[in-house]
Amino acid sequence: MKTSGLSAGMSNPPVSFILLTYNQERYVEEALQSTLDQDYPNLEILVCDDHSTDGTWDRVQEVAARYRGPHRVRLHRQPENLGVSRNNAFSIRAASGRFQISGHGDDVNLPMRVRRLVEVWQQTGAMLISHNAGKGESSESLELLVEKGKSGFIPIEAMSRITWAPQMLGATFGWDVRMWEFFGFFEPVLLPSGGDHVLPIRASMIGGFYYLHEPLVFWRRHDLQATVVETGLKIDGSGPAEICRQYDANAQLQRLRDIQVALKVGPKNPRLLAARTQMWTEAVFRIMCWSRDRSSLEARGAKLGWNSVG
Amino acid sequence: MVGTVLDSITDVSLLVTCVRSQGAHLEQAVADARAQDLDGYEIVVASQVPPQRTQGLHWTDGGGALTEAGLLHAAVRSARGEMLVWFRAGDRSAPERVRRVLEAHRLLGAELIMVRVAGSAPPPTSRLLPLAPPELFFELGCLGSAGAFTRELFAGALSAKESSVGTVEGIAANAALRGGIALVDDVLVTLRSEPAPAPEGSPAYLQMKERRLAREVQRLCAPLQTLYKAPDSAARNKLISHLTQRVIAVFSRHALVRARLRLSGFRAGWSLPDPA
Repeated sequence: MKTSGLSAGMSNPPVSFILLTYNQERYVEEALQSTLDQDYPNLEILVCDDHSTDGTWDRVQEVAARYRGPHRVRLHRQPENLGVSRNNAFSIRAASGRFQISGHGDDVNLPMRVRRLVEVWQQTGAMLISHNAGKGESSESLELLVEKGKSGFIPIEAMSRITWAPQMLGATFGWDVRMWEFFGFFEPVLLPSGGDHVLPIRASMIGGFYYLHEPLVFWRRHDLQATVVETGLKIDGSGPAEICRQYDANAQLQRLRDIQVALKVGPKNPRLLAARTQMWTEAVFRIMCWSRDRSSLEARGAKLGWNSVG
Repeated sequence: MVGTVLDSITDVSLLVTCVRSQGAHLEQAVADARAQDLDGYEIVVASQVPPQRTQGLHWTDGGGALTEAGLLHAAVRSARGEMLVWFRAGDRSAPERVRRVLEAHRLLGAELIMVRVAGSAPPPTSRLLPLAPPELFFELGCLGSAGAFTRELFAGALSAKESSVGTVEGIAANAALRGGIALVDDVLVTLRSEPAPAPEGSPAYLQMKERRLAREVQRLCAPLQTLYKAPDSAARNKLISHLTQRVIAVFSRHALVRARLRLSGFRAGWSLPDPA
């Protein structure tokens, strides 16, 4: 069994929990409280608010002010709205832990989430770890994200032919910072709303992507979610999918760039070469899906407009 | 020359298409079609607005087609000719255009014959060219309204949806596969002028560029669907490889433009038409 070089010999290495918030006034108290309730002893909690325009930032400050527990809590509010990708990049740089856990201001973490992820990181040495989740609009309507599954490494071959799978949910990620150091941050112009599609592939190229089949977070589904707001596609799948398809295709382009980086730096691994061919095909397929969706919308008389969000 | 080579031509259809926004140019396009310097052809008008005079031509409203491609399909359905020459409202055609195209078809056997459009660079050699290798001339073949094509070629490209863009690209891909694109190297068509661009870098400019690049990707994707289903051959594989690289390159540019708009504070959103 592999072990993480970073955490070798350390029973409780310092870990950072990055909580990204944006206009989640209704849910952020619960999200932050569930983070503060984590039972891992050596934890820094960094809350990065992306210049919310509702009461999110006030709620964050109130909850943090009441907190008297052992974790180190740091709060930051962006001076302007950056979008998920750039806010995430800022937080990764600002956090001190070499293992970092991603959290969102509308989700609820189980108390053992950080501890379990750190244990798996130490045992496997994986660069990226995801886990199962409960999903729904409220805790009463909860269902499992992955009904049947098992824990283990997911190889690149299994991911290069697909864009996304429930095991690749960004709200469940914990990562070794070296993955970001190797590949760099996303082009926010390509992936403004996050990188669920891309990070597992990155990890599988340099140290492994591990899926833990334990539900450790409640992933809340609602129509104010960042991806819903960004793409206009509702959580029930209704609405025009063109923007979503655009991001899917962009993610494929980012994957192609990443695999070029890995091939440039490392040996010409035949598995990577085969995966690159798959990704190339997948990229064209995704672009064709986007093109078909856009053509279909235009044929129905739909118009693409640009609304100022300033 | 008139009335010699082409005496027996009775199977040529001139297809005039006109979407509503081009309505002001319809009569000019019909007049250009009527003014061709040979006899024995039919004129089919597929137009969202009716022509002023329907004598001597066949008019269809396109059966509710919303796009230019849809109108072209409607015109082809109504036409009887085996050789189809496209006249798009807003473009101007010289009186000898159809005759020169038919001469080229007879001399070279090409199924897609393009004429040079005003403002385009001349090719380096002769004035009547079979173009090879075909995949490199695919994009020339995509200047649809400067082209003439056989019904058979059109039928072979029909996998593109009628309502979508990509019809002319489907035709060009089919022609490239069958090895038959020719160019009449005389300026016989002037394409309609595009609206003046907004100041570079402005949101209006980026939005216009986004539309153009998206359209280009759509146009390139359409023939790929046809090509994937085509029997395996060297020509097919070369064309797929060429188109794939072009699709990725153009889509990347499109993604950057769209992202620039996002970073400028504009969020994309689709508005669907009122079902009523």
